[in-house]
Amino acid sequence: MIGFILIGTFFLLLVMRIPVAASMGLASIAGMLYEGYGILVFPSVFYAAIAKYTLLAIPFFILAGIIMDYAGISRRLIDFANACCGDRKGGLAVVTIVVACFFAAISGSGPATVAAIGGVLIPAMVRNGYEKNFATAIVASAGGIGMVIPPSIPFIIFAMLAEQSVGTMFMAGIIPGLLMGLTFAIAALFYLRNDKNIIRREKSTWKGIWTTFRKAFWGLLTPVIILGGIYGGIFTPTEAAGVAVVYGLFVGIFVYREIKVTALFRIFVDASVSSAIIMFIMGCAGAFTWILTTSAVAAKLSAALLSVSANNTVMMLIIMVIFMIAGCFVDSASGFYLLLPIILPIVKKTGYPMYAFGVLATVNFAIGQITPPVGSNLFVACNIADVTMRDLVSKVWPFLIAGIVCLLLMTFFPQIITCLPSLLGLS
Amino acid sequence: MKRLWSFLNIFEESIMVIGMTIMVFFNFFNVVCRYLLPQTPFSYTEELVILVFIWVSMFGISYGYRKGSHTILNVFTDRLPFRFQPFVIFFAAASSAVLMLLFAYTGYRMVMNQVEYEQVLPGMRIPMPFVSAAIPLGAAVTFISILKTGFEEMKGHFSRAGEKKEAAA
Repeated sequence: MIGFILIGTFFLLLVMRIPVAASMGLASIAGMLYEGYGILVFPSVFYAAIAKYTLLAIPFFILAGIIMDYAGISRRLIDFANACCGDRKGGLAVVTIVVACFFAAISGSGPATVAAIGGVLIPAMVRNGYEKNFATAIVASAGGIGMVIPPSIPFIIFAMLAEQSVGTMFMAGIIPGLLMGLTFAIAALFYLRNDKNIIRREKSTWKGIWTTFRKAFWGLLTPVIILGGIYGGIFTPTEAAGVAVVYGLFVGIFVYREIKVTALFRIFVDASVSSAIIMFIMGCAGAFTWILTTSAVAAKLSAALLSVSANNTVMMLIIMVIFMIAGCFVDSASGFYLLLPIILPIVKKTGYPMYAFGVLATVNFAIGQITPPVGSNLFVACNIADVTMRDLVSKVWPFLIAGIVCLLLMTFFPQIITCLPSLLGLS
Repeated sequence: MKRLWSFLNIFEESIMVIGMTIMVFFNFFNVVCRYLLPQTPFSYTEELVILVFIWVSMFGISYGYRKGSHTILNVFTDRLPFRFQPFVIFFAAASSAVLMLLFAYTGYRMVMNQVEYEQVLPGMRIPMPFVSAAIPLGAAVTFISILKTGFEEMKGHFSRAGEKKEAAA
């Protein structure tokens, strides 16, 4: 009954256009009242859910991403990628995906990556004869890589909830992120194979490549600093995020000289609001999870799910389907809070490595960002490109298929995720 | 009234900008000091940064409501007939408002509890309410922001309804 109240209230409020976070907050209050705990525990649980040092990496990585964007790093990365592979047929589509992978190594979220690269790349693709809706779909899909290649905000949240190491998860995300990029590029080229309208640009000289590389160098150095600092034992992931902010400010103000001091105010406000939105979700979702576990609903649902099949592969596939459906409606933060209390015990039983599961689930939510009705990357991309949601959705299918292929590969071959961490002795 | 809203904007923006700056500063200097000095001068960095972060987040939630930045699912409600929209707007705003009202009230009780038992932060040895007061205050401001946004949405709806009527006539 309590499970019904919690989940029913949540979905009812959600479809009535109430913010995801508030829906969870109200649902958990309803649950608290029903179970007789009273609502006085709500603020304490909310506070406990967000007052964590690990979570501070979230505002810092968001801030670093916005700063890098203002600093003009994304534009320089685009020039460099364009010089490398822009001359081939469908080259600009590949450039978009390559740049998304690079920017993913600076930013930790999907929509931020879309915002950073879409403004330049969508008009550029349209100028070169790409269909606008498809160009927008490429950017929206490639943006999802932003949360898989480290740094990654969902990894931080998963690591905290499942008690895994953020460092290991970051390392584990690299190959899956690149694999996503590869399959997306194949999907784009396949879709474009007979497109006669695309204009091909001339091949760049080695000198051209070198010049653009030199200009993009400071941006390319960011992931080296972040990951090098974490694995070199110089600083923690949270501190790395803070260092990335200071580094971005340094590059933006003194090296590229594109950030005006007056723009800093806007940058800091934008970053604070973006992270506050996530914290609102996490606080309310924390309360939701608290009531879900204390009322033993989570355990009952786990047991019910476990009784469906004894086969580990079937179980993993069922879990993937659940995450896929959840990804259509909620973002990764809410999704993790909603599902992990139920799913984690099952994953433990199947013997799938826990941190690898976190990567897998994140890839699921990355794909969820390009599925209607709630696809945050689609929203951002629509706004940038000024296309309608309906037109955009009709063009994302090649990438949805590519993403699902990626997921299946990773489900059956967890080595794709675990090889890098085990090579470095992290797992 | 307009002055009040621009004051609220500036007030919240200032909290966020100043807060973020403090967070970045202390976090960075903690790393620098660890390598340059034999002992870090601020042993309380983590606690301080979390404290500031809670304030930034609580007021950011309110700001996000006014700017319409929170994630919502509107595919279903958009399909409802035009004349039902006022009910949707009212219900959505009222629900969020109720949550914030309860949040502010329970948060206030939590803070009072901490005052009564004289709870202090373990690192900085300052009273707990320096952090936790952000919750009732932030929730109260968010409540106001929700009312404002709901009111504006309603106004927008009825001005569109007026235009439709004119167009029909």
